[in-house]
Amino acid sequence: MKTRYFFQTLVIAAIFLTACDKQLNLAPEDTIIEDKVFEKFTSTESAVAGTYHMLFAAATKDYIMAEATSPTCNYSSGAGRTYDEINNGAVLPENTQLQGIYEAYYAALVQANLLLYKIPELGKYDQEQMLQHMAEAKFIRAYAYLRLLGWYGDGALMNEPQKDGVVLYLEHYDGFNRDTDIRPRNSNQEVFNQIIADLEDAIIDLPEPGDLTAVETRVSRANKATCEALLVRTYMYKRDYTNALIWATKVLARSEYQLEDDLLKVFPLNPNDAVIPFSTEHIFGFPVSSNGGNWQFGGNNIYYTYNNYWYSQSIISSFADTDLRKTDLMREIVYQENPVYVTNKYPNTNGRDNLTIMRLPEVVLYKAEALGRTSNTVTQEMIDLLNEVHLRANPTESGYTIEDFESNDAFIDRVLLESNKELAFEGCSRFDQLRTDRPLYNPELPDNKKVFPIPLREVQISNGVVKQNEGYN
Amino acid sequence: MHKAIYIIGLWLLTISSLVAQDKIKASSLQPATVKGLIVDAKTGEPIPGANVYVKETMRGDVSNMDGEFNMLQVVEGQTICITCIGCKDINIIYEGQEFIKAELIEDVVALGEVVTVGYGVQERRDLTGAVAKVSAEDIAGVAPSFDNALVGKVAGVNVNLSSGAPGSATSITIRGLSSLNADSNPLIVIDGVPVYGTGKTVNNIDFGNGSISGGMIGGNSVANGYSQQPEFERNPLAALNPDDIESIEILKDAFSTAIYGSRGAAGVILVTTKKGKKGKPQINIGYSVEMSQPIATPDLLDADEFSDIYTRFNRSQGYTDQFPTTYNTNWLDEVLRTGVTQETRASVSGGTDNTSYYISFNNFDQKGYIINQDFIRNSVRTNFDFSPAEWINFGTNSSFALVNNAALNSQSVYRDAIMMSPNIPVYKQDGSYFYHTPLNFDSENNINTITGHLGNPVATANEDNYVKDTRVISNFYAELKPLPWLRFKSEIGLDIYNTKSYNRNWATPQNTGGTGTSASNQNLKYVVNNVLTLRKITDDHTINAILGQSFETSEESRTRVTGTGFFDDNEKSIQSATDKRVLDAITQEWAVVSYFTRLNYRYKNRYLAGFTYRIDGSSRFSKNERYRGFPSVSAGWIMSEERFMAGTKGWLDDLKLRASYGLTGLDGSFGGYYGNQGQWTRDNRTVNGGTLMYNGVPLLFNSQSVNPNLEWETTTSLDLGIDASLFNGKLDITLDYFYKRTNNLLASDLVPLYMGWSAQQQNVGDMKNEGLELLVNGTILQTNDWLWTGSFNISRIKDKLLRLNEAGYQMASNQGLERKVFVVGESLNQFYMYDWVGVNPMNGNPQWRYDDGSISEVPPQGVYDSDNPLANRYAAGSSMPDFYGGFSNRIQYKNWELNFAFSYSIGQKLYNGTQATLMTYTLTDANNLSEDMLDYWKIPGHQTDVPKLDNATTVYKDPRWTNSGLSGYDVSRLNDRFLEDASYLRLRNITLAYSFKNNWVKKLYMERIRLYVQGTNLLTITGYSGIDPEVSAYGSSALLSGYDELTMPQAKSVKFGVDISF
Repeated sequence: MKTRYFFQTLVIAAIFLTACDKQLNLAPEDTIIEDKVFEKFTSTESAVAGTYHMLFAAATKDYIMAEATSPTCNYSSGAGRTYDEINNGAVLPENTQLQGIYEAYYAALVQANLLLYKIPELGKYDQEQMLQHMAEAKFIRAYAYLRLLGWYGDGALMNEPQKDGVVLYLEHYDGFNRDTDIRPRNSNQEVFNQIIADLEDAIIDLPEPGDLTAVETRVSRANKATCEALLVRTYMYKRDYTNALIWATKVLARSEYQLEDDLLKVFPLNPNDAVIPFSTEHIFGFPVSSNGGNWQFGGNNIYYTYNNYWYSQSIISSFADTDLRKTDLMREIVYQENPVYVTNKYPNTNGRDNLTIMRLPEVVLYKAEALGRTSNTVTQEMIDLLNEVHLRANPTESGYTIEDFESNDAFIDRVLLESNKELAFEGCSRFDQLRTDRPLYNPELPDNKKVFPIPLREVQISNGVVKQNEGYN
Repeated sequence: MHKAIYIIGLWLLTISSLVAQDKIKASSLQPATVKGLIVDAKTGEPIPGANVYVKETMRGDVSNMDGEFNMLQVVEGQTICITCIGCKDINIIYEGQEFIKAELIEDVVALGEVVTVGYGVQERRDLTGAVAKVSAEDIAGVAPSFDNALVGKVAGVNVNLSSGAPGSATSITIRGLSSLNADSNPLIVIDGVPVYGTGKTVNNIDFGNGSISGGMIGGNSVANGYSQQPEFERNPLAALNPDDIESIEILKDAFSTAIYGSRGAAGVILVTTKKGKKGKPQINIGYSVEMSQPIATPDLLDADEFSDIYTRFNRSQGYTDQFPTTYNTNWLDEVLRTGVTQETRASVSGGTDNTSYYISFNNFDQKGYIINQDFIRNSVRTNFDFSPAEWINFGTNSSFALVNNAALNSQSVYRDAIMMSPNIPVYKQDGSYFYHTPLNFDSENNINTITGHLGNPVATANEDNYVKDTRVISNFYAELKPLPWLRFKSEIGLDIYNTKSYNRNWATPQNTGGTGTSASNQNLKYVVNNVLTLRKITDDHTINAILGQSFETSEESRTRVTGTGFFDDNEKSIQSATDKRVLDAITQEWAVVSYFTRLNYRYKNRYLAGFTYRIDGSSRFSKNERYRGFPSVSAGWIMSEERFMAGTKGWLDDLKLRASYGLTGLDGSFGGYYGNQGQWTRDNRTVNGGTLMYNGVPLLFNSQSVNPNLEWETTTSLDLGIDASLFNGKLDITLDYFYKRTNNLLASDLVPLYMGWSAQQQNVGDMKNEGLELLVNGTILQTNDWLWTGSFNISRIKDKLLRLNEAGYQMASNQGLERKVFVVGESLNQFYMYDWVGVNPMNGNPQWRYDDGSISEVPPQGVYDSDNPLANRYAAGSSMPDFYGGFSNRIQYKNWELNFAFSYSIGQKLYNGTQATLMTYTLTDANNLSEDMLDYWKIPGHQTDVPKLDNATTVYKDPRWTNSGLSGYDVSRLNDRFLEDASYLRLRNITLAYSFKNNWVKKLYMERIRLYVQGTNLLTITGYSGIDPEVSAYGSSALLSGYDELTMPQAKSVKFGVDISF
């Protein structure tokens, strides 16, 4: 009798013993676990959107930096607290602002890596949509690596392909193993090749720009043309003008992108934090005005409107007084009793303007420059390209002719000047100076300081496997 | 105290007797009733509570208070067994006697003590692990919660009462710190239920909703200052009535804790509550009243002195601010009162042959020494056991407690009252509270023309602020005894810990609508244990084994809402606020599945061996890393049983050597609830009720990445111990040496940024703890009238960090561990300080000594080099003591009784942040200052340790950034200026009692009336210049201990009470 009870009890215990493992599978309620995110289109779409947002967050950190370290810009003593040490070459590897740029781009690209791993593994939605999401992730990764290379690759834009670029990390985080995760920097060449490979891959699965009828989507999400335009920029940074020309020609053959006649359509006034549209000449940009943020967060972090940055004397003197870029997109203010010109490209005082990353004039001028560098003479095609940008801002002029240029070099100098004038304060000026061997903000800055130091913590954590840039050793 | 031990002992003996049970012979003899008396053979005193039974039938009785017993239906030839704890057993063959007088002889060897171990009990004699036991009499009536009563009582256990606020947290460290986690606390098991123990995770009440911080002349804080957080960490053990506790066992070494696997990594505290015992009901009632005051308070400036210093300082800075002396308020006097604590207790216990019960009620009503700060606990306990047949029993141990802690504001009121400018009045002319306002805001209520203090601590004290806990801790069990040597116990344990809290800040001129926060926390834990116990004894071999399984799960929910803009201060509900927000609304869960076994083996009464193994599966880990096994082994040798020790029998009763070695581990519970599952979250910051988008698509971010390589944090420990009992049990000595090595310390640590994260949970390093513990218990004097016993314990524990992946300062700052620095080769609690030399008597500037030996007036913190953050800092000592322990004495003379207990702690450092704050005069808050400030440097040649008011560092400008830079380097918490040795010896309590047992008491149907007077914290001997050397501003966190930040000192108190037994 007792024995029977005992065995009954044992049976009950056995039930307990087997029923428990399932109870350990608990799911959180304030977060979504990864398996669920990538199962369906809507949540993966949000993960892709989140990754774009991270890229945007990174862009807000280095946008002004690329201007304030270029000779096209001048700044107030307040801004000088941040930029003087950088322009003097005195910045230290522990500088947290520079580290912030590095950190933000890597954070975005590693999340893109995660998409690339998890979508094929977990995705259960339409194959085409999955491929498109992955292609967008590759675009994001390519864009992030190009910025990182521009800032941290030692001589990356100065024709030093064998020098150290940045660490290529193409996996997602799954624990830090010192034996396998501490890696030396890849060469500039290797990083360039990765960027190009990612973009060429992405083009295959991305839609044509014409398939995206909404301008907002065409500009804010990658399509074939976005990648082509970024390839142009990449090859220009790499000084591979032949390839740049090939891709620029493809972009310019497209009909969706057109220069706006009215510059205020490209950079509209935005006094009331309204939702403002992208223009037809925008190729890539971050939609800030529609993202639901406010003055506290979600903003572009660009406060040119507070009069701390203005066109340097050398560049402002090159503008004709009637140049629409001066009359429509600049304000004259007085700084220390001198009149200076502040850009009006980002007029909203709460940082709510859309963030322009690539627009058509860049590709037009890149093509003009690439043609100039790959042919022996100045041709009408080159002149037309230059005039396209120049005459839009100076409609009363008759434009340049072949006779205006004695040599290709003279033409190229003119294109670069036009580029400076057209694209100043749009987050790329520094890199255009570097890739053309023109000086930075401080003309005395030695070449080995024309790159940012690798953040100190990277060198320390890796015990020196991640090497510091030569100028900061 | 021996009642429970007796019952447990009886039960063990019963089982051993069952083994030898013979078949009952048929008998034709007539049964008879037998009466008898049991006395002590030595003193002739009657022995109550002895167990008397007939071996053949297992029927029996227990002797009453007069030693008498009465047994029915005894047949001639049967054996009457008489057993009692601490005495040798007597067997008497019944031959028809009508009256049996049994004289029991004291037996120090037999079953001296039974201790509770994980999932069972064991005779202390057979114990091979390190288990400390504290019995009811050591903790009863001395503190509102049992953890407070453990201070200085147990070797190897460092209990630190963090503050004098009622119901505030206690830090308990068993055998040193063995984790980098700020929230690492021992497991507390009450009657088999692992309960929500100490630690911030479930006990913290955050009633902050954004606060206005004070400004500063040229900045808004001083270098490395301290800011009081709007939160209260309460003590979860305060819900338990200490009077209900029969014994507390503290499992210290690997052999005893391994049975709790990952749950026991920081040690285990087992609490056993009282059970009823067979016999007539025992009724006890008691009442006490206690008066308390803070042990001391700081000496502060009056309005004239205050105004003088602030005016001088402001003039020196070129300001013209005014500090009028129209009012002179002693703010501290305004908020202090004599605290009164009343406690009422009642309990009934008893039992019959097949039931036992214990029912108690406790009302603890504490009015703290700060006005309107009250703590009330009402608790009820029902312990019940029923045995319908000899092979089965079931029962419950349940407690229900309501704790209303309205003392949450104590700390902030105390702090603010000390810091309030003395030239501000409490009330306006019209009797309403005066709130100081900045000049530019409202000149009418402005006194000090700089911003000044904005609060009013008297008003704060009177605001609604409470946390109400409803707590049920309960277990229900059924136990089967299918065979004499086998038992199966199945139990369900519950801990329901629900909390409602409310905090209100009244409307002030600058916060016109007031703010309110209301929170509700619901924590539910249940545990299922199934344990098979086997106990087999043959001539030479004793086997005691368990095999079991446990499932534990916890669901923790919290909702927190806050509102601002109330129509009126009397409108309480958050829903009446004009602007309200949800701060939290979430449920989190975790679960642990465990299988465990323990085998204890004894050979020839002298050779002991043990083995335990536990497998834990944790929901916090992913499937492949989910399970982890924790083995341990032990061995013991009762030397005194050996033949070659025969010569020592005269003075050495017992001598045992024991050793244990084993593994425990931590599942990184602080790393998040859902382990290494990749998790994605939306950006939940609301903009006009929406969320951030990207071109119309909501955003998802990877908030937690997978981390499959994370390993469990494991501790291997070695324990070597000696237990000795000498001179007929008059002296017991326990000595333990231990060595613990913790590998794979879990912490959030930096990873290369190119991996996409700045920090992740990692296995960052190894550390060790090494220590010696000594416990001596002795009977100093024992005669017919006198009984004098004493106890002494001392522990020395040193920890050392053996390895770290990264620089420790980076990791510490990354984990939000304030100013903590981890350095390989040093203790975790080491202070790294700048060497403050003193004040240059020629110019009044502070001076520091640099690493190169030079002395400079430039603060080394001002020329901080992030490449070498420890430059110019030195290891200035640890916040953990070199030695600690306590000693107590109990002296009984006839009906008089005198008890006292001291605790001591030697060698620990404490940062006197109280003094640092009271020497900070650069803030626009214009806080009051210490009287010691009056000795500030005045003229060249003045020898003082207080710098001149306008010294080179009060408003220090870094030459590199003249427009910025922190100020107040002279009061930085990184200077050793205020770091002091906080060694102390404290008379924790002293009790004088008299018991009436006379006939007049009996005539009132009472057994005993006991009157007593008790003093708490009446004497503290310390070199610490602050108020209380025992406080910690960071509550239960031992890792962050060592800071006195105007932390409420403990109370000194006197209590009068009466206990009546029926």
